[in-house]
Amino acid sequence: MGAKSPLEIKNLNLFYGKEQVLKNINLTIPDKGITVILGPSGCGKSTLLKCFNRIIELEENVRVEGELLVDGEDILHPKTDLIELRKKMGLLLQKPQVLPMSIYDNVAFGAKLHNKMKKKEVDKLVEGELKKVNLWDEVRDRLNAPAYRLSIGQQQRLCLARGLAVEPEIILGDEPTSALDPVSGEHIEKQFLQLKENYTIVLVTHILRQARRLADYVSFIYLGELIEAAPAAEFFSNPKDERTKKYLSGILAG
Amino acid sequence: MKRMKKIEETFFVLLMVASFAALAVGLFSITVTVFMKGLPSLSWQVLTQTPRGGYVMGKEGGILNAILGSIIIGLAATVLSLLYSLPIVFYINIYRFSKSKFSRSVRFFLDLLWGIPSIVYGAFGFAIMILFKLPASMLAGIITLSFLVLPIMARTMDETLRMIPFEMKQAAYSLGATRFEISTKIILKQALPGLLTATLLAFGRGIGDAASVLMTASYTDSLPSSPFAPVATLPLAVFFQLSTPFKEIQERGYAAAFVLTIMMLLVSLAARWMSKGLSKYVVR
Amino acid sequence: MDEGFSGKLKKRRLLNRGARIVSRFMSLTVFSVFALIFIMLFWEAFPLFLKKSLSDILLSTAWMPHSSDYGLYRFIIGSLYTTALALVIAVPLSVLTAIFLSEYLPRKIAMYTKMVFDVLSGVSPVVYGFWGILVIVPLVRGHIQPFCAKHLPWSFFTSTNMSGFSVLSGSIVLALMASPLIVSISEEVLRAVPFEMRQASMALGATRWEMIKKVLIKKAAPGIIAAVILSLSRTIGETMAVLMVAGCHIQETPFSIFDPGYPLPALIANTFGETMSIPLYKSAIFLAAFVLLILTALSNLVGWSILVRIEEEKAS
Repeated sequence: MGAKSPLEIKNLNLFYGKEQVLKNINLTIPDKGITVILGPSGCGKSTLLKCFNRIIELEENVRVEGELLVDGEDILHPKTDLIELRKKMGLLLQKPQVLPMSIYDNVAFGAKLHNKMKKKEVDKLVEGELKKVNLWDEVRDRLNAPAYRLSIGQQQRLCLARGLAVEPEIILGDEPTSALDPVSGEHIEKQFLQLKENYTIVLVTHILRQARRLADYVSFIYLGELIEAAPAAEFFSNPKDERTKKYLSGILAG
Repeated sequence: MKRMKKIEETFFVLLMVASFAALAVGLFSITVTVFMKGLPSLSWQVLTQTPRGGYVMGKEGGILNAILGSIIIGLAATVLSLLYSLPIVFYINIYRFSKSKFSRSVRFFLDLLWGIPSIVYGAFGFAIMILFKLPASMLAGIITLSFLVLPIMARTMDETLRMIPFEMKQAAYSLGATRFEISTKIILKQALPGLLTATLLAFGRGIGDAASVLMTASYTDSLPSSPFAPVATLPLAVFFQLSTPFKEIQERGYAAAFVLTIMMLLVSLAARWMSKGLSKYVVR
Repeated sequence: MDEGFSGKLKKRRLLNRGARIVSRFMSLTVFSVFALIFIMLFWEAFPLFLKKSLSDILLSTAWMPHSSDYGLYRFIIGSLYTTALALVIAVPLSVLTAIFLSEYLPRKIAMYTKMVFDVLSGVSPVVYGFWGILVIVPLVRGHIQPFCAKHLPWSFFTSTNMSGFSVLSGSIVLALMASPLIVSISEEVLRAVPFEMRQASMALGATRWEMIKKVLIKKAAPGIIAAVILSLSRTIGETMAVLMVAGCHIQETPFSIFDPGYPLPALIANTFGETMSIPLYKSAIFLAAFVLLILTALSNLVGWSILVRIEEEKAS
C-alpha cells in the first residue's frame, strides 16, 4: 500500500446520548479500490460511515470523540469546512433519495452549487455523468421529467451520478443495493467495480456474498468494535479472530 | 340480555345519525341562506359601485368599496405574514433541530398566539393607535390582521416542513450544500404545495375577519384611497348594512355576505387544488 | 474551476450566515409578541384598578359610564353563559358525529364528508351571524320560545324579551361554529386508536357499540376533552356572530335562555368608539379585552398541553 491513505480513523468513539455505539475504532482506509465495512445489522457500520462526511451530526444527541483524518487533516475539528469536506465525498444511501426536481436538475444540483457553469457546460456534465452510470440511454429523451418517476434502480443510479458530478475523491455507500431488485443491484455493483480504479470506495454491507464479490479490503465491525481488517483475500481465507470465523461461517447473525 | 344490547346500540346509532344530520342541515342551511338571499340581491350595480344616496350608507350604489378593501387588506396582510413566517419556520426546522428546546419554545408561543381571539388583536391594535395618537387607517388594519394571521400561517407551514423526509436532507447535505441552499433550493420545492395551502388558508381567514379591522381600519363608504385613511371590508359591510332598518341597504348586506362567502369558498378550494398542481417534482 | 469554487464558496457562506442571523432574530421576536399584547392591554386597563379593586370590577353589575362606575359581571356571565350553552349543544352532537364518521362510515365517505364539513364551515363568522339573524332568531322567536311558554313554563325558559335575540340564539350559532373543530379532532383521535384494541374486545363477544362505549371512548377521552377545551377557547373569543344575534343590551344579567346576553367580545366591539370622551370607560373596555386574553390563553394552554401529552404517549 504505497499511496497515502485518504481516510484514517483514530480512536473513534461515538455516543447516542448515554449509549456508546462505536468503541475505539482504529482503521486506515487504503487509497483507491473498494473497502467493505462488513458486519451484522445494527452494529454501527452505517453510523461509522456517516461520520466520514459528518452527516451523523444531523441527528440529535450524537457525540463523537477521536480523530478522523481525511487527506491528513482531522475533520472532527470544529474549524473544518464542511462544504469542502462533503464535496470530497459522495454518499449513496440505502434508500435512493432523489431531490424534488427533474432528472437533469438532480444530476446538476451539486455541481452547480459549487461552480459557476454555463448552460453548455452543465449539459455536458449531465450527459457525462449519466453515461458513467449507464443511465443516459434510458433517460436522454425525458431529462425534464420528475426524478421520482424513475424506477428505484434507476433512482439509485441517478443518485450515484449526482454524487459523482461534484467530483469527489471518496465514495461512501450505505448498503446501496439492499433496497433494490437483483438486476438493479447488479448494475450498481458493476458500477462500483468500474469506479474503483479512480476512486476510493467505502461500502457498508451485511451481505457476505456481496462483500466477497466487491471487496479489495475488508473491515469487520461487530457490536461497535473493529474486530479485524485485512485485504480481501486474506480476510476470507484466513480470518484471525474467533468472532470473524464465526461470522464467516454463518453462526453469528448475518 | 343480548336484545337489550341491540336496542341500546340501535338507539345510539339513531342518535348519531340525528347528530350528523343536525350538523349537516345546519351547515347546508347557512350555504342555502347565503345563496338564496344573496343571489337575488346581486347586480352589476352592486358589484361595481360604492354606496351613495342621502343617508350615511346610501340606498343606492353597491359594495365595491368593501370588495376592494377586503382584497387589498387581505393580500397585504397575507404577504406581510408570509415574509415573516418563512424565515421563522426555516430557522426552527433547518438551522435548528426541529425538536430542540428553542424550536419547541417558538412553536409553543406561536400556538399561544394562534389562540388569541381576533377582538383582542383588534384591541391591541387600538391600544397602539391610542398610544401614538394614530387615526384609524388601512395600514393599521393591515398590520393588525398580519399579527392575527401570522401564527396560523407559521404553524401550518411548520407542520409541512416537519414532514419532509430526513433522508432528503441527508442527501442534500452530503452534496455540500449550505443550510440556506438546502432551504431555498430543495426544501422549498418539496414543501411548496403545503406552503401554498397554508398561505391561501391564512388569506381566507384574513378576509373573513371583522373584529380585528373593526377597531383599526374602521369603515368608510368610499373606495380605498390611501393607506392612512379608513377602508371598508366585506365582513363589516355585512354587519353594518344588516343593522340598518332599510330594506335596500339590507339587501346590499346580503349581497356582501354572498360575495364574501364565494370568495372564501374559492380560496378554500383553490388551496386544495393548486397544491396538487404544484407537486410535479415533489417526491412522494 | 478552483478559483471559481473558493470565490463562490465565500459568497455562499456569507449568504448562509446572513440568513441565519436574520431568521434567528425574527424567531426571537415571537417570544415578545405575547408579552407586548399583555402589557399594552394591562397598561390601558390599569387606571381602573386605581379606582376599584379587581373583585369589585369583576363582580359588580353596575355599568354607568357617566359616574365612572364599571362592573364587568354581566358581561362575564354573558360570555360564560353563551359559551357553556353552546358547548352543551355542540359537544354531544359533535362527539356522536365523530364516532359515526370514524366507526360506522367507510373510510372514503368519511373523508369526503369531513372535507365538505371543513369547507362549508370555513365561512366568515359574520356569515354565521347573518344566518343567525335570518334563520335562528326567527326560529327562536316564532317557534321555540312560544313552545317553551306553553309546555315548559319555568323561569329558566321564560323571559320578557320576545325578540328572539337571546342567549339561546347566540348559543345555537356558536354551537354550529364550534362543532367542526370538535368533530375534526375527535374523529382523528378515535381513528388513532389501534385496530388491535377494537379487534380484541369484539373477539370477546362485544357488540360494536359496546366496544365503542367501553374501549374506544375511554382511550379517546383525553383527545376529545382537549378538543372541547380548545373549542371553548375559540368560542369565548368569538365576536361578530354573537354580536349579531345574542341581543346585546345591558339591562339585566341573563338568566333565562331567552334573555339577551352581552358577552365580553361584543361589549368591546360595540362600545370602543364611545369610550374616548368618558374617563375610565376606555380602561373598562381594555380590561374586558385583558380578561379575554387571560381566559383564552389559559384554556388554550390546557387544551394544548393535553394534546401534547397524547402525542408523547403515542411516540413512546
